[in-house]
Amino acid sequence: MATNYNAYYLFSTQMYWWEYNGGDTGTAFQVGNDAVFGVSKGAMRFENITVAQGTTVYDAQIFIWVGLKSGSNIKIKMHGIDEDNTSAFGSNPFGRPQTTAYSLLDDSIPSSGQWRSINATDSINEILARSGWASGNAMGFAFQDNSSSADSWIFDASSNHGSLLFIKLAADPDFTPTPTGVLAPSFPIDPKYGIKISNINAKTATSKQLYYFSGKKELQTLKRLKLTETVPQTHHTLPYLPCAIGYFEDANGMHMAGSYLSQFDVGVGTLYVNNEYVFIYPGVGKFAYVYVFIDPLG
Amino acid sequence: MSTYGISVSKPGVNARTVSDKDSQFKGSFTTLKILKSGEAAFQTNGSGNGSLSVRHGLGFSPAFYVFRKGTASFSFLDATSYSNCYFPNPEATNEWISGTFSCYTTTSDLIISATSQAANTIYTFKYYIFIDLAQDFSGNQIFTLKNQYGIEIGKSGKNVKTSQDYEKSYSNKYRSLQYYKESFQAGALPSLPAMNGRVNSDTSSSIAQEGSYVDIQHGLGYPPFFLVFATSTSLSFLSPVVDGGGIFDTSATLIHGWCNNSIIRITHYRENTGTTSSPDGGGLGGSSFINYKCFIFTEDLAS
Repeated sequence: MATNYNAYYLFSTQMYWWEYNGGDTGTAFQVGNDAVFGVSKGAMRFENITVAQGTTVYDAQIFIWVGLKSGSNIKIKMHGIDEDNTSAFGSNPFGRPQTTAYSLLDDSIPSSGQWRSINATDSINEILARSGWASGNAMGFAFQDNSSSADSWIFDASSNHGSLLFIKLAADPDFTPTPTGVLAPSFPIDPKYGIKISNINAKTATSKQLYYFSGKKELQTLKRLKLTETVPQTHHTLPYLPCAIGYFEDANGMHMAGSYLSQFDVGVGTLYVNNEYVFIYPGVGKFAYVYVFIDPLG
Repeated sequence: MSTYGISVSKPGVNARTVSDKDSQFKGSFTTLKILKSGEAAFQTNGSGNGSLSVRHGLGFSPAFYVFRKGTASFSFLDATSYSNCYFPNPEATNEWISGTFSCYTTTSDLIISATSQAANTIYTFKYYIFIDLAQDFSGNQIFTLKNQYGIEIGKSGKNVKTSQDYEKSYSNKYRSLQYYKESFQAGALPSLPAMNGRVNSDTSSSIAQEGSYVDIQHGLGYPPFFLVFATSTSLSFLSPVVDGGGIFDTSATLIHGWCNNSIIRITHYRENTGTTSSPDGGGLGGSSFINYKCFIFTEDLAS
């Protein structure tokens, strides 16, 4: 797989510049508002940037090494040096053309020996878009103070260069796995498998001892409701004749419905089912209660 | 089926797509939940009266089912008598055993009573009382089984923690009525001969009658809880059927069932009992075919 990240270091001479109030030097880098040296601006140059012309990088950061520091917060404005191949900083580079793109930083200053990063993506992409850019050329960047508080600055010491340019060419690849279908497992039709519920050892309980076993079908109620003398039926809404049981009222209590006439008035207690209804005739002034099950009779 | 809940299907069947009627269990459908069951008996007095009550204490009339235990005997169809049989719904007449009994629940008890039956006779019954309703009720159960641990499934939109037990689809506090198997049988009623008539007092004259039965070899080794539905064309009736209105194209068709340790017997029988001067409803009964659907459950009536 191609490398997605590249890092470039400042580690030789003529790679940086410091301009301060009344002078400048190529022996160090500083940016900020110095109580002694006044407002400072610095420049960095990174060599051998191995990115092809026309590339749009995904992300680029310059990590400014804090060799020495002052203050707690720094405000910086950074442009790229808009050249095909930025030459070594043998003299003050702040007169060179700068990219239209720039970056702002307003952040705390870490302790010495750490870095503070600034985004350089837009500036770099502008340089890469130059027709004269070629992989392996050098890039330069100009940093200026952007109204930092008094005596707030960052200094990259000449003998301990740690600043680096970090370029990420593309977004991180998506390693999200593609879901794949898993064939449904084939479970043996064995009473050992499934759900068993009992009040004794469920593993050894017989069918008639179990309170519930997933291997057996339940008699399941689709609906249950009260029927009256005037409305002695209910729609079952099923495309088949369903199983049903029920109860009907007399002066004593609730009796099982069926279809028997000997001790009750004609039709009382009769339960029957047709393609639309479940019917229990409860008798004059009485009610019935019906259970319509989902189970078919056919 | 709603998106949420439990669906149980047979092995090899997708529980997500199984139809309601083919599912083993779905949490959206209530099961009949057995609160208590048992055998109970009473002895009639010299007038043939007696009763028993089984306290349930629920505060509403619950669903229930009663089987009568006894010896099955009907010489017209079978010379053999069968002991230790169970007859569903003792309120109905049954050609295989004499006597009828009133069975009903109140808000506190299941009552089984005899009026003018055989005197000084012990009658035995197997009863099931469900936690489920036999009347409209929305209040609190007076009593409930205490069991803080287990599985309970509530109805859609109902808080299972606060629902009454009679509202729940399932609770492992109760045995549920589970299938052992289903059975389809067909019975035929050939044409009933014309009634030749008899004098009321002349009991020796023949009565035009015919009948038959179908046996289901359930293979359980014990008498199971069962339900039988008799279907003719687009109508179906829950057995026992005592048909005085020509449901099955005749007068007084009787459809009964009973079970023992090995079989469930479903009988269809009819007769003409008119007299010469009062022939019974025209006397003739056409041929008829009846289909039976028998639900056999795992419940043991003998335990």
